[in-house]
Amino acid sequence: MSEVIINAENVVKDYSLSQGVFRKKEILRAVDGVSLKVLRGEVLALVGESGCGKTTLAKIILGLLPQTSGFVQLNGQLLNQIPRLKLAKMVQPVFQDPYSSLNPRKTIGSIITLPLTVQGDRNPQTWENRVRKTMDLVGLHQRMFHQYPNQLSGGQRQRVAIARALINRPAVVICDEPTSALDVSVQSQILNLLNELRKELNLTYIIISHNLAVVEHMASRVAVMYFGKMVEEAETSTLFSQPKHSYTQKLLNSILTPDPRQGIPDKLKTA
Amino acid sequence: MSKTTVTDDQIPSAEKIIATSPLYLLLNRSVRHFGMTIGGGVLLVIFLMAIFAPYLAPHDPYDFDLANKYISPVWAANGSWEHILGTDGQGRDYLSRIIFGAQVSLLIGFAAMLISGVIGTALGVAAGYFGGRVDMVITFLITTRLAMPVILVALAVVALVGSSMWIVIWVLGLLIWDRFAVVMRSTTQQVRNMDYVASAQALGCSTARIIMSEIMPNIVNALIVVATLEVAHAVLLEAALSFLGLGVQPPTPSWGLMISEGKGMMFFKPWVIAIPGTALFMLVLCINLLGDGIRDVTAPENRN
Ligand SMILES: Nc1ncnc2c1ncn2[C@@H]1O[C@H](COP(=O)(O)OP(=O)(O)OP(=O)(O)O)[C@@H](O)[C@H]1O
Ligand SMILES: [Mg+2]
Repeated sequence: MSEVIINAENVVKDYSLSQGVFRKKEILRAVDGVSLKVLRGEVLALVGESGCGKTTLAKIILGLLPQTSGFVQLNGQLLNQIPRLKLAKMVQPVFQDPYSSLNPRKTIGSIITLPLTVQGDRNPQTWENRVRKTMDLVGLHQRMFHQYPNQLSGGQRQRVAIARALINRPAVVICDEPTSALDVSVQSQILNLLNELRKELNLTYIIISHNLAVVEHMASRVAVMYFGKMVEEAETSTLFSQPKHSYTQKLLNSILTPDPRQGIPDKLKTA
Repeated sequence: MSKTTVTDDQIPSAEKIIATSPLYLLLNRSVRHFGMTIGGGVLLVIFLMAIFAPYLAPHDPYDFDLANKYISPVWAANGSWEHILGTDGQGRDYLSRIIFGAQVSLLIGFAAMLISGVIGTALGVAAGYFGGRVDMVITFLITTRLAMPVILVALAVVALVGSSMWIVIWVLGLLIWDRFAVVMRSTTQQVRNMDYVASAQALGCSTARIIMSEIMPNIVNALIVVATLEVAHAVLLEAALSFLGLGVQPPTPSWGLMISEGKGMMFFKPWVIAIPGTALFMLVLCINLLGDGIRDVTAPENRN
């Protein structure tokens, strides 16, 4: 049994909906007592319908949102006690929309260099070289170094986001629907890239997805969320063959294609 | 390069885009933007006029000669080349006063814009970025400020503390930051929700770094547009204050003051107010044309 890298216990997140001084406070509980363990080296898929709190949970694990109660441990250390820069070297996100995840005013080169700059990395003279190597790693053409995001396609942009997340070699990458904004033909390329990178760099993934075909292809374990609660957690094959919770059964039955594999392009199967 | 094999880097269009620098593209687009060229061109002329006023003005703008008052401009029947735009009620050369008046208008316009820009941008960005309580307090400040009529407050303050050019600049600067704050607040709110801000946070960037390198470059367009509008706004307010006798004090040549001094004669010698009025109109129009042009030309969706 490999070690636990992320341990979330009873995490609760409340959003306060009312704004203004005199109105009564209204509260929306987006994450409701979620406990979750992620093991080093595994790919955990987080599924559930829209609005059930997946992104909120991801943002809490990334340290972008404070939880209302409960705690998250990374490598056995409490998340809110880890210094900002150290945390950045442990978990990194890849967001859904590659059109909003890259600053339109910066060149690709400077976007991918940012993690090195922020970390105050020694040897600035090696930065360009490392950025170019990472661009190679994720399959970006070298001439894009001086280009701007709007000169790139969606798939290329997502590769830039992946390069930015990986250049400091984090232990965990949280991909929030990494392919749902992309063209079907590009989706499989990005998923294959993520798979290859995981093997090469020993990464741990949390993949949030609506697409059960993607989940079946990528994940070793699946966690199902429903209205802010974690309702089921199982090995991928077990979950697909014997779903326990009624919501999971509904989820599996509600896929439009009878065989979930038909939802993704052929390339995946041959890869 | 051999002509027999076509390699990737011989495809001309792709390479050309990279070879041309963003600055070159920006200049190229600017020149093709009609309104911006006109506005920027005329504004440049007014700027040069203000800077080189001592060399350009044919007469001393303060030199009065009561024997030669209200001489008509050169295009009128009894005009002369001695005073191309005629003279005012004290016989001072109108062209020279217009030229020196450009200094006053531009100085007040830009200085007031800088002061209000710093205040308004700081408040607006803070409100938009931090949200919550900070936003509530700043929104309250903005609402309070919007409830005060600028001209009346400016008049009251100037009447209390006296008027000089620098007092006018500070009073205007401390009053007209509201549009900066409102626009910067809403654009910052939009940009703040973009995933690249979340990415920067996840990378461990400090708040200062996120504001300076992720937020600011993406709101600077709106900032420039508001800044130009506010220069024009301040120029008009200065003219209004001077017209009411509480702005720049005589005998300083200010376009607003010239209109005010000429208003008694406006039915007999209409050019006395038409000339400074036109100057004011041209300046404000050109600033606005330039602002609109900058907005169009620097929009990021324009970049390729
Ligand atoms: N900043 C916010 N303020 C208030 N409510 C929010 C905020 N962000 C999210 N919510 C609410 O919290 C709930 C969970 O949102 P979340 O984004 O985590 O869902 P999700 O599972 O990621 O959905 P999707 O699959 O559509 O991305 C939703 O009901 C949403 O409306
Ligand atoms: Mg989401």
